[in-house]
Amino acid sequence: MKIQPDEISSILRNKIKGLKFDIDISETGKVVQVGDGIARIYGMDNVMAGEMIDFPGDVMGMALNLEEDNVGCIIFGETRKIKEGDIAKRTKKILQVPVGEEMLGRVVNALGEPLDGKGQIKAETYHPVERKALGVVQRQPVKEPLQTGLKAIDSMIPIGRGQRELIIGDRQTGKTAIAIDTILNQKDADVVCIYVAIGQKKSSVAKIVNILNAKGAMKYTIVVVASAAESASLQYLSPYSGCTMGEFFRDKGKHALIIYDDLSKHAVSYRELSLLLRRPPGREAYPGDVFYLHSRLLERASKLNDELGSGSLTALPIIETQADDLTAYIPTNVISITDGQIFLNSRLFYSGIRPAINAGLSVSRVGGNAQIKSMKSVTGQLRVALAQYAELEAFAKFGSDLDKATQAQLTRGRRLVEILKQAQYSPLSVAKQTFIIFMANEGYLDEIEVENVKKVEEELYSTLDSEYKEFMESMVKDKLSEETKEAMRKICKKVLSKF
Amino acid sequence: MKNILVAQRYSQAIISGLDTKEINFVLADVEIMSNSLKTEQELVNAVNSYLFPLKKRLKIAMEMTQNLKYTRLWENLFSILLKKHRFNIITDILLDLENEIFEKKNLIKVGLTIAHELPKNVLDSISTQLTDILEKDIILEIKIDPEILGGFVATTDSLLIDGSIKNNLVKLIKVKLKKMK
Repeated sequence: MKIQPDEISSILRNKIKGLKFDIDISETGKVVQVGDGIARIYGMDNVMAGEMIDFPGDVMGMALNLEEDNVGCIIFGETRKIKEGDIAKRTKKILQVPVGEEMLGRVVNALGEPLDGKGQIKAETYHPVERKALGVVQRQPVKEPLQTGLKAIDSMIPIGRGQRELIIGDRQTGKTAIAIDTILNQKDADVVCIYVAIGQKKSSVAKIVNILNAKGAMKYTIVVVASAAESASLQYLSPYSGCTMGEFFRDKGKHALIIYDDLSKHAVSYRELSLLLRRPPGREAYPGDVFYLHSRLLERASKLNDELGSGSLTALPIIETQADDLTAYIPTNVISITDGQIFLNSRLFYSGIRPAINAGLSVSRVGGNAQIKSMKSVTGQLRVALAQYAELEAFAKFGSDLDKATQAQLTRGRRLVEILKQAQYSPLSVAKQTFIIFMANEGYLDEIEVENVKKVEEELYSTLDSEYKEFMESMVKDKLSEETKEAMRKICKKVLSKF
Repeated sequence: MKNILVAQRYSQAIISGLDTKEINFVLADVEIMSNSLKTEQELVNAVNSYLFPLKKRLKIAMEMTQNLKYTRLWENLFSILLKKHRFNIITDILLDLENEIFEKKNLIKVGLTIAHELPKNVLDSISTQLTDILEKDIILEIKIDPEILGGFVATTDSLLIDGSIKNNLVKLIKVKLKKMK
């Protein structure tokens, strides 16, 4: 085949003729200072707070400080690509992230860009990172339970869909473990999970992603990562990005759960940004609006009313304390914002009580309304018995010198503590949880040695799984009736006969 | 570049004390000085340098003002800048002063970059369009840069109007790449 140059050039000419050339008009400013993830821009008089700024080298930024003679920006990328004197352009867009079903199963950064090497995310919808929390009219009270699969939580500190429940404790007390267990427990619950890792080691995040993958939880989970190696600006942004992704599902009438791991590091990254932007420092050098930083984020968790599809976004923020001090600045702020807290105690953790939940200091302010009725009917006694045990624990060393009633309370308390222990990555169904608590409350375990309580528990679960599947399904549907209780007592006796 | 903000304060202080007639004199002086100092950065550095005695530096600076129309003003400004060791921002002050004066006269300086020399009627047409967009009378400063391939790029202090072929091709490539992904 011969190539005809004339023909080709005429085709090209026609193509070029058909092309429509645009003229871009953009407001610009000059970079006067850059460094530490911050840029100051001279000019850009009409820039909006939170607007995306286009820097040379395809680096994006966000305008945060609108001052009299300059604009303070945080930079989401490599600052070394930007020089003093560079031209920065306004985009007239508020920062947005991709949202939708396409995000499920993906590990993304704070801007919604993939980090898992599974290729580009073909999301068609983008939503602003900063959104106003819904108003009173659009909401309804929390009424459906969100099961964590953990006995200690589902029984004593129940969480409802749309609730904000803080997980607080020292380092290495199992805060993340509770969050991961909760994600694993949503496997058949039709709840989308978003795990936001803020300022964590990449190795820790990789470990979590591997667990979620191995347990089949990644298919309904989005992991948003702003690791310790990322700039403070990305760490600051990541929880808002994750929240926007969760809100998409909530607004579609679905249920979503978001975990912010952790907001202490988020506050630290915001402090860093604020100090670099020369905002006045306040207590512990945090800026004055550090309360608003978290309140506006956590207010976005909600349960929508029926007209809006009754979707929900439940938030489990995590806060790391220093030496179990709950009265520090950030912990008290977040405690006051949330609807309750799960306090993990390092003393309990090292004495082998895991999850190391301090029942006395933990509370769920709204979850009670959402608790399953069958569970509710057994947990009233549990809390009282545990509180009495905590009070009498100090006298335990007097042993046989104590009166019978006290000894009985101590015996019951020890067994209750034992049954509330739970291994990691092994969430339990509500029915099993209700059953074992019922068994302890009724005193069936009092005669069993503390060391053997776990064995009884295992035997109970295997008996229930093999022989009483239908009974288990029916027993959680409503409040425990006398008939159901009687049937449960029979099963308890059957299990105990083996010991 | 950080000096822009300081320079801005100086230029605003100068302009606040001038009436319309004086503004024209100052503008003429600014143009003369801008043109000569633009290429003499070494001189600016030397005048600002502690290596030479202040008296001598002041003398040189005063001589620089001799042929200007508003000598007194420049003498005062140069002496303050030298004493404060800020003579290095003189070019920024002049630039800002020029912009401020243009602003007062509803004028704007536009840097127009084109790929190759264009006939006068095309330039006039571009100029008219820019006047419409900016809603100000414009002073064109034409620069030729073959890298933009064709079309034009117009820049002011706060606006970038990019109608270059290069920009359009970059956008086209971005769209194609996105589709391929």
